[in-house]
Amino acid sequence: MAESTEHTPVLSVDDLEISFGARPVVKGVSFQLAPGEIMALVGESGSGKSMLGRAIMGLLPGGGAVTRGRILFQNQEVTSQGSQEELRLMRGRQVGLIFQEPLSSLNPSMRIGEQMYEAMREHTDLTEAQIRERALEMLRQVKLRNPEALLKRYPHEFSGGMRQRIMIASVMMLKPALLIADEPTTALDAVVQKEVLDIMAEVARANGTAVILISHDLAVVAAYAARIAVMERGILVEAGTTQSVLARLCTTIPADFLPPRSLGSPVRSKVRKVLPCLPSRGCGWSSGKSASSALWQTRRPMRCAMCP
Amino acid sequence: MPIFVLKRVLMSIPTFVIVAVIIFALVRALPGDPALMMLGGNIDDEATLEQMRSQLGLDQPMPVQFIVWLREVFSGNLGTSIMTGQEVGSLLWQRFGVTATVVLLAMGSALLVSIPAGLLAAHRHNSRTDYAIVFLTILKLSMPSFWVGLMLLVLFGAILGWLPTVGFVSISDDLGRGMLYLILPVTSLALSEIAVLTRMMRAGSLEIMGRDYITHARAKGLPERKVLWRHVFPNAFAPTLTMVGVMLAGLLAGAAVTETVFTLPGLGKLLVDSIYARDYPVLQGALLFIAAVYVLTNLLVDIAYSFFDPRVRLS
Amino acid sequence: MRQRTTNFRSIALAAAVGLGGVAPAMADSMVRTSLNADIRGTNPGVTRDGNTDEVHGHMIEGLVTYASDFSIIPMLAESYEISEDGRTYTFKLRKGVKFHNGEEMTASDVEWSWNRLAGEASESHCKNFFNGENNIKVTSAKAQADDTFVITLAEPYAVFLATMARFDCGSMAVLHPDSVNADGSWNKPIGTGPYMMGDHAPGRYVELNRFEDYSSRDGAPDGYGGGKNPTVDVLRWEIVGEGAVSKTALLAGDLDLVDIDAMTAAELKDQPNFSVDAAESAVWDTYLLNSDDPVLSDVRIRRAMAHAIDPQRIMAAITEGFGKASPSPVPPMSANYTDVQAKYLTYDVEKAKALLEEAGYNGEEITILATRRNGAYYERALMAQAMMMDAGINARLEVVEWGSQLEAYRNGSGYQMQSFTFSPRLHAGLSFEMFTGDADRKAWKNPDAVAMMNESLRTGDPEELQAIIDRLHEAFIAEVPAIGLGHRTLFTGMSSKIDGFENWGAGLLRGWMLKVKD
Ligand SMILES: Nc1ncnc2c1ncn2[C@@H]1O[C@H](COP(=O)(O)OP(=O)(O)O)[C@@H](O)[C@H]1O
Ligand SMILES: [Mg+2]
Repeated sequence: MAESTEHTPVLSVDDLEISFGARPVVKGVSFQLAPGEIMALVGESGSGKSMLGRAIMGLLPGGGAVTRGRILFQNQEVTSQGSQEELRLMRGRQVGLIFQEPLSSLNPSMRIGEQMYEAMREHTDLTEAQIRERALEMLRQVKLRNPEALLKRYPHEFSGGMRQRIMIASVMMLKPALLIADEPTTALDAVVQKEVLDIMAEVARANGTAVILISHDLAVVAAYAARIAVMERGILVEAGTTQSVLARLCTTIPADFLPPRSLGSPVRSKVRKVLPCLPSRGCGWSSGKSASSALWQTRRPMRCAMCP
Repeated sequence: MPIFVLKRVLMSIPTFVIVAVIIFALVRALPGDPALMMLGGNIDDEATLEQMRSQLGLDQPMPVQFIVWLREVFSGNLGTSIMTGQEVGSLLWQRFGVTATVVLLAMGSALLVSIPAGLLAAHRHNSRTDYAIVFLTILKLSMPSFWVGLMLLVLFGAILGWLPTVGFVSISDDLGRGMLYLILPVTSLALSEIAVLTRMMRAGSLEIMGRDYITHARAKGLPERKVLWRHVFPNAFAPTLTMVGVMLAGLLAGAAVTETVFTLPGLGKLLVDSIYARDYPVLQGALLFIAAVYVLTNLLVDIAYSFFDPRVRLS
Repeated sequence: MRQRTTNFRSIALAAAVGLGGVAPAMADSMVRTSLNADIRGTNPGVTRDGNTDEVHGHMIEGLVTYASDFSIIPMLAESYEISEDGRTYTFKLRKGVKFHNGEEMTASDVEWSWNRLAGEASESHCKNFFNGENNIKVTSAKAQADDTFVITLAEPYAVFLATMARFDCGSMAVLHPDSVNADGSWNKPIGTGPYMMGDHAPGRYVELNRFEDYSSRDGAPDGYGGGKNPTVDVLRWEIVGEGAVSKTALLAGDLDLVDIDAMTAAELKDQPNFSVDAAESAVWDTYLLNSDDPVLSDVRIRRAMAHAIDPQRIMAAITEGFGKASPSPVPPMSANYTDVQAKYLTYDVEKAKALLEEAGYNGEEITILATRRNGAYYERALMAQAMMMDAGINARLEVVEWGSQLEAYRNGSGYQMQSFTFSPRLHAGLSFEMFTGDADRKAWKNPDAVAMMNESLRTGDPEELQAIIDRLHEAFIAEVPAIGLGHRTLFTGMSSKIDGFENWGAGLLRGWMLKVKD
């Protein structure tokens, strides 16, 4: 990649405020994302992560609006009164979105194949055969077996993990410059979570796609991200490299959450037991996985900076 | 699927026998006497009444009458009308043809209007368009259909004089003229259906529009039109389809009000007339026929449902 | 606007006629009217009901029929003679009367027709009127010559001719034997009437076509007889179940002549292009009282009820002011309706209260049975209830379906009072017979009254008949087995292009009198 593009962020969010009516739910958030970079966006439930992600796609739910600041995607302003049509063409083609619930993010009454082809038909001039070929290739990339048969089946015939892999294949088919993964694995059990995240990271890397990995569970996503941003009640309270954020939060990643070596995890060296931060008791050693899910439940992670 | 259909049909046979018993019991439990009704209450002598009764086979004990009827029904003979002497079987079929034409045309046009209207209202949720659509449907629902039918008749028949007010021409006899006679009843029936179905479609669409896969469809960059038709519609339509099934079964069993207002010789009118005249063979035959219509309509709706919702398995 | 509409219609009609093929040519005139239910069949006196009789009445005729004042006049008979002993009736037939198939009517056709309805094998209820079941026993009915038909009775009976003329027997319709198939099954009515069977689309319409070779009597039309000179080519009855719809169709010009209710009549009266005919009929609206009921068995209570009810006000209300009270069962157009029949227990609340007091009435509930049915059954009951309450009677309304009310009527039990209606009886004796007798349904079972009623049917002497009818009426007022209201006003709405319409006491349409103006 050329030097210049390294320095042009794929996404630049500047002093962004999102409100529902008079109530701001995202307040003055700024960050940048380099091409191909994976950033984890973490924060407790309701802190405004999803709204931030949606605003980037121009898909805020009814009643919600960007009330201040701006979002630049590849130097194009998303929030300006630019044409709806331009925004639409950007969606899917350049920015992909994956949701938490693999059960509800695939249309239950449409065959997998159809759902995968749709966006390609909309955004490319490829022939049906070429589109199909691309879909099969993607399904192979996400390590699904027997992709030909799979195309003819309906979402309800698959497990949660498989569905999320299908989602990844479907979204990444167009090789978007940015993928917003909104809690992509929250609904899955731990083993499958890791499997899916591994695949997502791999596909993103292979396609040079930058990722905003949204999660309420720091431990699960941190190892995949070069940087971490922490949100709390609409405010970005913490942002920095993964290592520095983890250090400040007295947190390490449990071994079984680490991505495979091939992905070059930014925190490979920091394998330790989790140190959960509980405001009442301070920090303490936990016994592993079960504690990790409780990790982000703490109200004020910053205070943990004072832990031993 | 053929196995599924066959199974369902076979399963309905015992239901039919039970229905037959209930129908017979209910019909005979109606107070009133067909012989008496036929003489119009002006009974001049008992002998006449008795003669009429024995002609109608009503002088037999009730269980004998039932067995005779059931035996005939199973051999495919529904008897003849007390009132007009017509074959009940062909009478029902003929009347059903009229009702089915009107009802299916009305349902077809109602769907053509209410699906886009419901989708549009949901798409423009809380906009003026949405309010206008909701208001119109409530307005229609609050008007009795008899009155609406009559007003259509007065407006287009009497005041404007564009359409005929009485009579009926079968479209199989003369398509052009037949359609002329069908416009008002179909419109009147369709209006009621549109009101109900638009509301169902709107509510269903609103619910579906909140689903992640709709946001996802938009996130794919699909134009709104495609989001609505390909993603919202098929999923929002499933509950509406159930309603369509319920309404269709009810209406195919006879759209009595519409048939009365627009003088259509349909099943509903026949049923009402046969109740008033205590025309037992017609009444019993019609009720049995209606039970069959219900079973069949439900079967068809189930098949159609599986088409819109692949999660539903036909088994 | 109106004009254009009409043109459009006639074009559509012409197109229909052209395609129909069987329908008459374009110049043919048509009068379109309505029936609230389809005809039951085409077999006069057999597959019939009130609606059906009206249609049959255009196709068939009998030896005698009713005049406007309900006296009996010859129809297919040129004349008739009754023997000294009152047992033998000799009918001279008119010459040259043609059946619809072109054949000339002879006495043997009359005999065949008589046996068809009155013979042992008859499927018609009419045979019971002549086989001794009901007073009259015919011992022989024979063609004596080509133009002479003789009927002999076991005993003389005055209403024999009136019974022969009954509408429900098609006046003992004289039909050509080809009306019946070789196997004895019914084919179609080949009668002598001014109209013959046309198209019948079950549940939709019935059409009759004018009989070109109809042999009319001389003179003006009189009741159901007299001269009939039909001019309208096609009479068409559309089957329209709902009064509001036939009214709309009349306004739209899709029907030409429609039975309407009082309210529509009031509304239509002043409209240009339409006319309204209001005629008093022999249809009797009444309240039947159940004298077997513990409360009503006291005649003073029944009288009190009669005094409490004001028939004038009720009749005015249900006819929108067109009609008036005539409480006697004998209809005003009857020759036997005199000053005596005009008497009734007048509206007098004080008298009613006094009678109640005297009878020791103590607020016992009196239920009025009614049904929501054309003919203001419900409205009549409602007004009676209000008036009875005014007089201190604890009256309650019970609304049931028509079939249930008929059942109560037939059993003569299950009701205390009910609003009821009797179809026309065209003999003063029969006007009493309809509610007097031993049968359960009859409201008046007093043996003296039954005897008088039977006597009225037997006597052949007009003066004696009048005397009996007068006595019956006095007894009727004294005993109050029923409270009469009036004879129903029949309303007909017509487009102004219809001419020649006249209603009469029996209320049956006489299509042969109609004309269509250009
Ligand atoms: N459609 C909506 N209408 C009103 N408020 C909303 C809507 N969606 C989200 N919010 C509010 O916005 C805030 C942020 O929500 P969200 O971004 O979904 O949180 P997160 O994804 O971090 O759990 C919450 O307080 C939520 O109540
Ligand atoms: Mg969220």
